[in-house]
Amino acid sequence: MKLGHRFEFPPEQQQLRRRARRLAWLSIALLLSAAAFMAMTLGQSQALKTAWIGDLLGVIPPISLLVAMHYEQKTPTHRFPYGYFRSITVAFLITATSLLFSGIWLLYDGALKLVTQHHPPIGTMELFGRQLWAGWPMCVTLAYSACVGLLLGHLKRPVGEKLHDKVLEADADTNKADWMSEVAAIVGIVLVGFGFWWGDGAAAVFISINIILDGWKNLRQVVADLMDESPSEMGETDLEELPRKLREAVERMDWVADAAVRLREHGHVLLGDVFVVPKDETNLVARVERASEELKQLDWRLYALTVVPVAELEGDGTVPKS
Amino acid sequence: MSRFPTAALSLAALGIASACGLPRDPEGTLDRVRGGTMRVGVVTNPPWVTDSAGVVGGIEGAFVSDLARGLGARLAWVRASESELMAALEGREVDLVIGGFTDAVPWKMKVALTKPYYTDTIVVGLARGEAPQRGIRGATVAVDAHDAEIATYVRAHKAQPLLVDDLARATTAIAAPVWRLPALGRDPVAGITLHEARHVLAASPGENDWLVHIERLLRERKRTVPATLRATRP
Repeated sequence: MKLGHRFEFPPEQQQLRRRARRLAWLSIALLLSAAAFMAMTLGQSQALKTAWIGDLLGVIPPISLLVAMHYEQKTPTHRFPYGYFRSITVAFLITATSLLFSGIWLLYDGALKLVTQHHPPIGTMELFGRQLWAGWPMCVTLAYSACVGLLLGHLKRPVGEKLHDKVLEADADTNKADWMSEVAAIVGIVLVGFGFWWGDGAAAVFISINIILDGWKNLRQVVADLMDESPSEMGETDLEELPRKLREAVERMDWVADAAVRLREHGHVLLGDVFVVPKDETNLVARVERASEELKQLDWRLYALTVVPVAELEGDGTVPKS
Repeated sequence: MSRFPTAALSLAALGIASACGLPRDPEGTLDRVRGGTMRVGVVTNPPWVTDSAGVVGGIEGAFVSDLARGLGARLAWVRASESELMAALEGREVDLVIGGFTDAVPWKMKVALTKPYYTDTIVVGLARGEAPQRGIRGATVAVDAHDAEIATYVRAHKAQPLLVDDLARATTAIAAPVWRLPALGRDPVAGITLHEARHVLAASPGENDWLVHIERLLRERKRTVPATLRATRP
């Protein structure tokens, strides 16, 4: 049995990972271009400021994904014997916390402007020698940024689903929240144009609530991962069927009387323990080793399975029978 | 998914269709001022705002007179302190406040500042023909006693300010707005900018049609500012 081996992604996943990496670079480039574009029209509009910060925050997930992808396939070391797969969880934690806290700050800022009845002044801007109301170029930059978010979310979601990559999935959610927010900001600025001063603050509050919900959802998921939650479905709270399938596969082996399984997620991969009560103890060591290798074929994400022979299993013991 | 781009497009179309009428004032300031009364707060601050024998003038005073003429409005001047006028402006008791303000004012989030119509550059001036200096570090630089804030910029550049009543008689290098130098027989030292003050007017907050109207006038008139400044004798 080899310990501390390097995890190899299956060819299909490797291709998807290259795709995910390219998408991360594309996200950083497009979001920064949108933010730079918006900075030129940034005035006293709270909605625009909130959307702008949303765009800047949007580069954190792709950056953390790139950093995590760089580390996660490193061979396990003495210091990190389980490997570096959880770098992806760390990336996820950073993303979720930054989203949540910036959302809360923006909500406070926007709500304060509504409560104090801040009337946003939006004056003129000179563009190609013409002077026009600055609200229009603001709407144009917001529309560009919304297109960026729409495109990125669309491209990322299928890749994230196939890779079972929660960061990418969360990132796609962020892109979705971003473009919806930007449409809201456009509505807010047009409302200001029509003389409804509260349109701006209301849009800002709507956007910040979107950011908070996004952050909250992600934080819940990452905390569950850190708590060694059993593998859960992408973007949902439902548990996966894999532990049960694994137990059934073990129980089908002719030398096994009873079995229990516990799995946990380390970023993209799964680790876990398989407890077996053998009915035939001949060649036990070889059987255990072979079982560990065979069971890994069940799902590409299974990286390390520890198969432990035990005398008996109590159904309501510390390891619930999945 | 495809419904949303459509929504965005129709929104854009709506925007373009109504672009001519936007923005509007929440409190209808521009409509009220047109043919009515324009209430303008005044803080005397030559050469930007002068007030002698009941006549408000100066660069910004002239802007306001032009603005009122264009709108057929009667002018009601309100003379008070800057802080009183800002409170009045925030409460929309006056429509506009002039006083040679820059965009660095602390109350800028409470009112609507126009785009800067002029950037006043504070530079170091040397007597014509004097050998150019590389920097002013450690040097003594004369500053007009009426512009004490310039002493701060001088100190920030590690030079020693010397307040004088008459800059024309100063024997050392001087620090002053660039437009004053020709009248003082000085040339600016290249490469040293002590400060840039972007001059603005303050309008009532959120009255965006009114703000756009003022900014259009400022854009027309701002070209005349440097010449007017050079012609002023402080």
